[in-house]
Amino acid sequence: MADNLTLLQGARRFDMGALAEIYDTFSPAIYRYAMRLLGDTDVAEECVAETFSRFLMALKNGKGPREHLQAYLYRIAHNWITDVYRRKPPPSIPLNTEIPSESEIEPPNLLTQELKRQSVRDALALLTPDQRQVIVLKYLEGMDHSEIAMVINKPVGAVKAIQHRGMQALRRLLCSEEGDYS
Amino acid sequence: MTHLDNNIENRIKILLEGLKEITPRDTQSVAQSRARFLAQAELIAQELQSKESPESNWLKNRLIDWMKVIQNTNQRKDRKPMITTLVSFLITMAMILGSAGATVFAAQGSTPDDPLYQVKMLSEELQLKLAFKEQTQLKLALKFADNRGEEIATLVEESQPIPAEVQVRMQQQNEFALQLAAGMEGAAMHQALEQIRTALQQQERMMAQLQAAHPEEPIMEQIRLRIQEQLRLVEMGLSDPQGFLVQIRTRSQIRNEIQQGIPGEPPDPGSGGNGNGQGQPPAEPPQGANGTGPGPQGPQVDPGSGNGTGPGPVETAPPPVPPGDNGNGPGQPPEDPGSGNGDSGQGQPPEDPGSGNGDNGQGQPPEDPGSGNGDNGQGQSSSPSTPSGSGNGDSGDGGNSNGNGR
Repeated sequence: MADNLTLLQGARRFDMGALAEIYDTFSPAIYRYAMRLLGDTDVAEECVAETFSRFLMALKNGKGPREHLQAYLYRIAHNWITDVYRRKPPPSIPLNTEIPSESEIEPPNLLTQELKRQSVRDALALLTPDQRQVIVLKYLEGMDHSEIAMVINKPVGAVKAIQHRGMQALRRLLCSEEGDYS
Repeated sequence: MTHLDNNIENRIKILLEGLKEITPRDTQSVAQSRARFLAQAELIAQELQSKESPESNWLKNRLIDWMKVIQNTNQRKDRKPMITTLVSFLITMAMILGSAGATVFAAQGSTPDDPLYQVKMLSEELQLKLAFKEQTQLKLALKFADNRGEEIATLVEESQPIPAEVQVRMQQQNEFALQLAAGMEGAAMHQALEQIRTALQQQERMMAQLQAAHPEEPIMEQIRLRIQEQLRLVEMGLSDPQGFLVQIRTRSQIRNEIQQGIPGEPPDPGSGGNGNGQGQPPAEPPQGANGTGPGPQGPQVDPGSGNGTGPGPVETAPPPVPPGDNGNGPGQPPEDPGSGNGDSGQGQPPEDPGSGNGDNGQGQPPEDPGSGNGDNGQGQSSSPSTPSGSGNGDSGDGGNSNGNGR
């Protein structure tokens, strides 16, 4: 954290070294986050560029993060992705895909894998922004509840509740018949 | 959470895990994106530096300092008297300056009989002194001369006497414009002369209209003659710039000589009196110095009576002293030829005998020998071959000039 604070202080002075280090440190994570949600390299790169551009504009206006730089960058990226979701039409295909068995998770070919990934992305797209963000940060980015709480600016208890509702929604979206799992 | 829930959650987690596998980021895209980010940062940094330059910070810092002072004084009661004094001083200064400005503004419409007229004159002089560019000075001089013309018109319309000061100032301001034009070069001088010509023509038209409407005012004719003389100089400047420069230089020299020779004093004891003073009989005919002394052929009874026009070789411009200093007593002795008691006597050279211009006087050429106009005077020459001073008295301070040469 001390390193991040030092970087932030440098960034506020528009020290090019500090800004370059911030980009090198955090842009891969933002790219991964966008890529996992959007599944498109170009859009993910655009997300990274827009996130860091907004970060610079915030610094220029004397705003921006005081300490939690990573959480701040995730928040910007999340808002940008939410806007993308809003602009995009929602998935038209009814998500009645049965959740596959564990044996089926090892696909014989890449195309099948990609189709499954797209199904999961479509399901995520149908969650509320908070649910989607919490689910992704928790299960894809590996953050704990306190870290997620910093990203979404909500208490840990609220994060847990959002996570629970998100998982319930995914369950409804991905599992046509609960009885399949009995 | 039931076993079923755990099972489903595990399955969802496994599905989500599938999203972890992403296409590796293209290194070229990374480099480009990074370069764009840093370029944008550089631009913003430069923009912020320019905003934080000392010049832009100066005002901001001053404002902040003032805010601190005000804040501190509000917090510290012991400074209140000092602030009260400061505020009082500022308010007083604002009132003084504001009232002075209001006075000057109010004076702009005053006429010579108003108490504020001197304020108007002072403000005009100040404007002229503060104008550094010759073009600005020229415009101001012509504008002020126009102002004098309007004042004369106002006074004539109201049947008020026209102080000599107004006429003198009008002529001086036109003369000043001519000098400014003479100091310019080439096209600038030509342009300035065009401006002066336009202004003089306008003044002349105004005076002609006034004269037509009020033929009982003889002064209008004199003013017109002055303007016409200056118009002739302008025409000369447009057609023969060198001759114009010589004329202006000569007029300026003579004016200086008069100022130096008679610093603030009239050349004769009759200053301040009427223009009907008695001149000394001229010892020599061409030197009917002050005016309208008759030529040698003229009557010797009252030679040199009147003022202004002597047969000096050149015109004498009005001295800058008040008109009262140009009083007209007895004519000048021959030792002071051409200088006059006239406001601006102008004598003609002997080659142009009989013509002589006093302050307002203008002798006639030999074809019309001896006729001349003084302020209110007229001289006549008995002989075309000899110059006859034309009676040209300028009004003394409070006096009237009615010099009549004979």
